[in-house]
Amino acid sequence: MKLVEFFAQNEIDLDLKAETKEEALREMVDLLGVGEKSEELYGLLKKRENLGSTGIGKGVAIPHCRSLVVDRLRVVYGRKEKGLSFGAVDDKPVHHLFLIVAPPVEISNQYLPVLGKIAQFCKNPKNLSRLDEVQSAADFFKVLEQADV
Amino acid sequence: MFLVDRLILLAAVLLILGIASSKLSARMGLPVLVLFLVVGMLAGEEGIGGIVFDNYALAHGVGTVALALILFDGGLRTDLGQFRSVMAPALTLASVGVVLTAAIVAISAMAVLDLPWIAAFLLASIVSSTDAAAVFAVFRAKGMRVKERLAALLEVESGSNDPMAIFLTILCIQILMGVLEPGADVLTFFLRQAVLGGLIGWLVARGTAIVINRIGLDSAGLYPVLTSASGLLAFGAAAVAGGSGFLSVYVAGIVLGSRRLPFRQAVFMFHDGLAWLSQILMFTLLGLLSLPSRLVAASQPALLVAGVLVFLARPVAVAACMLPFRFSAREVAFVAWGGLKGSVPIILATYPLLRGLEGAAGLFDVVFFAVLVSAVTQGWTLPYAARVLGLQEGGVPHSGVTLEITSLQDVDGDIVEYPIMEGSRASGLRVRDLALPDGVVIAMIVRDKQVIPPRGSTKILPGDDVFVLLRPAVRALVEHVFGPVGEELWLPVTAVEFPLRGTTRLGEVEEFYGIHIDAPADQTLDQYLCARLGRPPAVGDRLASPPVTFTIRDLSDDRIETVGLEIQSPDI
Repeated sequence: MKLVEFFAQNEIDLDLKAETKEEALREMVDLLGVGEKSEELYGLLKKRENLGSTGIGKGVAIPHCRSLVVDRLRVVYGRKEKGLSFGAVDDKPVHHLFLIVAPPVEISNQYLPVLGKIAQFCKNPKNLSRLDEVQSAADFFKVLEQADV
Repeated sequence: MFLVDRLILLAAVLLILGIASSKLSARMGLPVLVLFLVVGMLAGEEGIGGIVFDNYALAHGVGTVALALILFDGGLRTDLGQFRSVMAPALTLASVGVVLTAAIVAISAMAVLDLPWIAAFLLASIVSSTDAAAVFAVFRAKGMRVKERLAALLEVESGSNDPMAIFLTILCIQILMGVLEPGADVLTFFLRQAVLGGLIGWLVARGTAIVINRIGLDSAGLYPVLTSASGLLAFGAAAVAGGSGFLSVYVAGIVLGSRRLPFRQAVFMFHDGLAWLSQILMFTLLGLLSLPSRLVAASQPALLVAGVLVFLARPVAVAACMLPFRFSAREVAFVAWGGLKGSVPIILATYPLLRGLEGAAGLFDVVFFAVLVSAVTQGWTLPYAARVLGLQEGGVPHSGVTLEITSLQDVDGDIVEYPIMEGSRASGLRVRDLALPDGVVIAMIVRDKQVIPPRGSTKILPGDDVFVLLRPAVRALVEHVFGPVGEELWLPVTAVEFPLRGTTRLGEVEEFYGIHIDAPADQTLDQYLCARLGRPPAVGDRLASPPVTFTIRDLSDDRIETVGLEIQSPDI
């Protein structure tokens, strides 16, 4: 499977309103459209951040958790041009956020591979500068296809 | 004129000659001890100085104090991280290796020189330890480096095998004098020496570390005096209690050197000077003690001992000790060749003389000559050996000089100087683009004697000296940023790793990643990784726990602070 197949058009936000890490997490959780369960999900993501920031450096953060709130693996992409302070390992502001949530028991067992694949995709600085240029969700999918991940 | 006036003049002349010969030694690529000995021999009875000196008791006394101070300095300088990375093979070499070397030399001496077994063992024990300090002086002078692991191994081995050789020698003398019976006594004696020596050294150093950080002395000059007193206390207390004073003082040095100390650089400088003074004094005195005419008489058995040591005993012992630790044949060969002899055997050779044992004078001459042969031939050729074996490394920066933050209180920070070379990872980058860890600041950049105040936009160029203010805990990360490009090392920011605190519980790892780890869920990553490694952790240690790999990223003292979690081969 390709990474692109895990993203949905309406789960991509190229202009996050958030000014803080917390606001960004909430804003991206809201994109999942899980209603009142949002708070539970947000709490889990915060818990994960407390174990160590998911800001893995070079302007990328990949918040993630496993929760019964979702019934299949969901991925959200958010971009903040100005950058957000995320407590990342390199202390640099975060511009690209990938939120990954999966149900605890997931038959296809793709949570870890997708997590790793996205991390790998972000390792390539070329991919990140392409993401900087993205104007629409369609552009975003093109970047993923170009990277062949 | 008082006698002491003349002695002062004499001491000054000998010290100056000693220092001058250290310059010469670097240029000639000879270990300094050889030249110091030559200075002593030239000043002696049969040399141009004509000084008659045969006071073995004084030589032994000076030698013991000097050796204690040299070992203390060596311990202080031992980098604990480096020590841990080579601890297992180095300690095997220092214990099993020494015994094996001594046994092979003893058996050869019995067979060829027709010595009684205990005399043969005494001779072999005396010559069984090594001295790497001499080697590294030569390497530094020639601007050469060998692989860090090998250099560390030789250094730690030579620091820690002296107590073992001293112990074996004392043991043989005790047996010769009929104080000890071979058998169970020997084991008790050994255990007492090792356990008391190690324990007292550790206790003294821990106590000193507490006192020195709280005492708040009014004068900075008193701190090095306090550390010296601590070293001597470790030696004296252990020796009087029946432990090994040499082991104790070395352990005290290592433990104290790994702690945060006020005026650290000044303290280290003081001990460095003290160690140099000790070396010059000791070797010159030992040189005075030896007579070239008697050395010639001892040359035949001495050459044999040296030959067996260099070509048979040391290679066999090193191979036996190192091969289980997966070193290559070349590395084994290099370490075998790097086992040159130093001051310890000569000092030890005065022990039987002091006890008035039969044939002790002959023994001294044989040992003296054998040490000279080993130091000259191996010391001279070791750089070539490194080149031939392909173990040489280019002149890459390790870390620069640490400038001191002057404070009467202990502060949690260091200033480290990094010289930037062509091919440095930082070379050509702007300051803001360096992946420096949290809380690290570039204090200044020196370029062609000009001080440049660093800004984000300042470009770092080859030839610059960059002074970095950092917390010791993140030093390894910073070292990497300024290290050479090339080797596929991990970057502080790999972008495929998720950092987790060491206090994260395994249950939490399972909750977030759905992977099961076969250990109690309330265990922390710190506890789990330490237990699985089975040795003190080091930054960069990896442990695979499919489908993820944990890598230790940050340590503070012995605790794992940060662990990187990497997902293996993510194929969807």
